[in-house]
Amino acid sequence: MFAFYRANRMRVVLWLILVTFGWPTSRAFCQVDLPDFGNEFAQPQDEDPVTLSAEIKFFKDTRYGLLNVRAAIAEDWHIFSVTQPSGGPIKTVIKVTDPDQFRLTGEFTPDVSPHVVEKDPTFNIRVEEHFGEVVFSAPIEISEGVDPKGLKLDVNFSFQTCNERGCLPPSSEKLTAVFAGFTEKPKDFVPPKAADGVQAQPPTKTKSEEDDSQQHEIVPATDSAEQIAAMRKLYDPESKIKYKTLKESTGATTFWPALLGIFVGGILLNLMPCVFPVLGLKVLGFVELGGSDARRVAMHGLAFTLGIVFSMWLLAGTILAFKFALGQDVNWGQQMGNPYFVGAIIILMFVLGLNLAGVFEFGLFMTRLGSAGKKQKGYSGSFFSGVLTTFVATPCSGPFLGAAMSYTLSQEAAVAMLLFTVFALGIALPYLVLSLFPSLIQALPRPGAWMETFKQLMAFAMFATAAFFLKTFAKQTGIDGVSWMVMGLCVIALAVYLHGHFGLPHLSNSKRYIWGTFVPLAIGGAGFWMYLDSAAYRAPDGGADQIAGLTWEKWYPGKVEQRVSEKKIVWVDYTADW
Amino acid sequence: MNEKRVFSDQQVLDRLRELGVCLIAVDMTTVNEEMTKDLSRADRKIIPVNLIYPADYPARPAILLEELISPQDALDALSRVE
Repeated sequence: MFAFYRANRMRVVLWLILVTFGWPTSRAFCQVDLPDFGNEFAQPQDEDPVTLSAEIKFFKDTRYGLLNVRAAIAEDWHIFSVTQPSGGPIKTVIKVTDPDQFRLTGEFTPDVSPHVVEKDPTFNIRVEEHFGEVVFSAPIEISEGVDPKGLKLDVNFSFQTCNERGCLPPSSEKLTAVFAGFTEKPKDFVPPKAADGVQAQPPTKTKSEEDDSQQHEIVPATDSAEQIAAMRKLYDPESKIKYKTLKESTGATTFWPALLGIFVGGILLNLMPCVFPVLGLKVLGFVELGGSDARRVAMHGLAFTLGIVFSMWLLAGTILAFKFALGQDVNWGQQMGNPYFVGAIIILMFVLGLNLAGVFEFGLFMTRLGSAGKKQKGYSGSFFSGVLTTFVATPCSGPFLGAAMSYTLSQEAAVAMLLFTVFALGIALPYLVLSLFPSLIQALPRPGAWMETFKQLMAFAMFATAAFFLKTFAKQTGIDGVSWMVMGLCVIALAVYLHGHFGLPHLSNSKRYIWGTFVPLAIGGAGFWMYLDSAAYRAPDGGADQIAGLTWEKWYPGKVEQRVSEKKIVWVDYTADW
Repeated sequence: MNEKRVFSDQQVLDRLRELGVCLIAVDMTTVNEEMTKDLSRADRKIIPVNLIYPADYPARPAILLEELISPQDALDALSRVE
C-alpha cells in the first residue's frame, strides 16, 4: 500500500496546489471523455455538412493534368484523410470510372495536410482530420486522341463526416468532373512512364476490418426467413417514431414536484435552530420599526423578503457561473461519475451532520453577523437583514438545498434562477405572513428544547445522505477505496471534535489556538489526504462474463415493432465500430 | 466507443435484467439504406443514438439518448420507460 502512496504523491500534491490556486478541479478530474450533451442535435438534422465538386485542369499542350476534387466542409465538422489508418473512422476514398479515356498516374493528395490527433480519445488510434476546405488532387493522363475539352469523368467520393459529438454514417457521392481550363505546367513536371499508372484503386477493406472490433456481441441471426418477412409486415418506414429526449422527459416529470419541494424546503428551513429563534424576533423588530403603522410593518417584511431573494440570486449566479466556467453542460450525473466529487459530497454531508448533532458549532460567527445587521434602521436595514438571514441559514439548509442543487445543476440558467427564487420565497413566507399579521407571533411555538431535538434529528438525515453517496463511492473505488475513505471520515470527525471541544471562546487562547485550531487543522488535513487517496482507487473491472451476459439481437425492419407488441421494453442501439 | 462503459456498469446490467429488456443492435458500420432510413424516423442522422421503448409504446413515447451516454443516463432512461 505504501508504494501506492508514493506513486500518487506527486499527483496529490499537484491537486492540492491546484485547489489552492482555485483551479476548477472538478474539470481536471472530471471524466472529460464524456462530451457535453448540447442541444444542437435536439432538432432534426437536415443540412449536409460536406459539399463536393470536381474539375479537371490540363497543363497546356500536354496530355497531362490534374483531377481536383474539392470538399467544402461546414464549420465544426471534419472528414478524414486519404491516409487515415484503419480501425477507426472511415478514410476518404476517391475512385474514378471510365478508364479507357484516361488514367490516373498518381495517388490523390490533399492541398492542406490533415490535422493529426495521435491518440484520439474516442477511437484510441491516430486520427487525421480535414477541416474547412480541402482539395484532393491526382495527376491524370488522357489517352491519345481524346479531346480534353469534352472530357467528363465520373468520380466516386466516399467519406465519413464527424464532429466533436458524433459521426454521420459513411456515405459516398457521385460527382462529374468536367474540363475547367488550362493551368501552367509545374517546372518539375516529368511525364510519367507507362508503368506508373494507378488505375482504379482496389476497393478498400472496410468489411473485413469491422469484425475484430465489434462492440456488441450480436447473436447470430436466429430469425428464419419467414420470421423476418413477418417482421417486415409490421414495419412502416414512413411512420415517425414517437420519442422524447431524456432531457425533455425529465423536465416534464420532475419540474413541478421539484418546484413544490424547494418551496416547502424553504419554509421548513425556518424551523432550523439557526434560523427559528430569530424569526419571531425579526418580525417583532419590524413591528418596532413600523410602530403602529401596519403598512410600514408590512413594508419592512417586504424589504426583508427582497433581501432574501436578492442573496439567493447572488448564490444562484455564483453556482451558474461556476457551472459555465466548467463547460456548458455540467450535469449532475456526470459529476457523480467522479469519485473525487462524490467523496467531497460525502465529507460535506458528514461534517454538516456532525454540526447538527452538536459535535461542533459554526453558528457563532454567523450569529454575530446577524446581530450586526440589526444596527441599521429603516428599510435598507431590513433588506440587509434578509441578505444575512440567507447566509446564516445556508449551513442549515444542506438536506433541502442539496437535493434542490442537484436538480438545479442540470437545468437551464433560467429554470435554475426560478428555482432559487422560489426557494427564497419559501424562506421569506413566514416573515411575510407574520409582518402582515403581527398578532400571529403569539401563536408561534416558543423556541426551546424541541428545536435542539429537531436539529439533532436532521443530523441523521445528513448521515443517511452520506451513506447513500458512500454506496456510489464504493462502486467506483472498490472495497479498498471505500474502507480507506471511511477511515478518513473517522480522522476528520476527530479533527472536528477537537475543534468543537477546544475551540470554545471561554477557553484560554493557547488552548483555543493550539488544540482548537492548529491540531484540528493538521488532523483534518490528514483526513483530507486520505480522502484524496481513497478516491484514486478504482474498483476492479466487472469481468468479461458480465459483458457477455448481454445478448444483442440483430436488427431487421419491424423487429422493434414486433418486440414492442410482445409488451417488452426494447433498447435499440444505433451504433457502429467507428 | 463509450458503450462498453455503459453496458459494463453493474447497475445498468442489473436494471436491464430486472426489467427483461430486449436489446437490439443496429450496426451501421457499413452503409445501410434501411438503417439510415429507420434512424431518420426519429429525425436523427448522427450516431450513436439509443432509443428505449416502453412496453406500452406508443401509449408512451420512446426515450431517445443522443451521442455518448453515461451509465446514469441509461438508468434515468430506463426509469422513464418502466
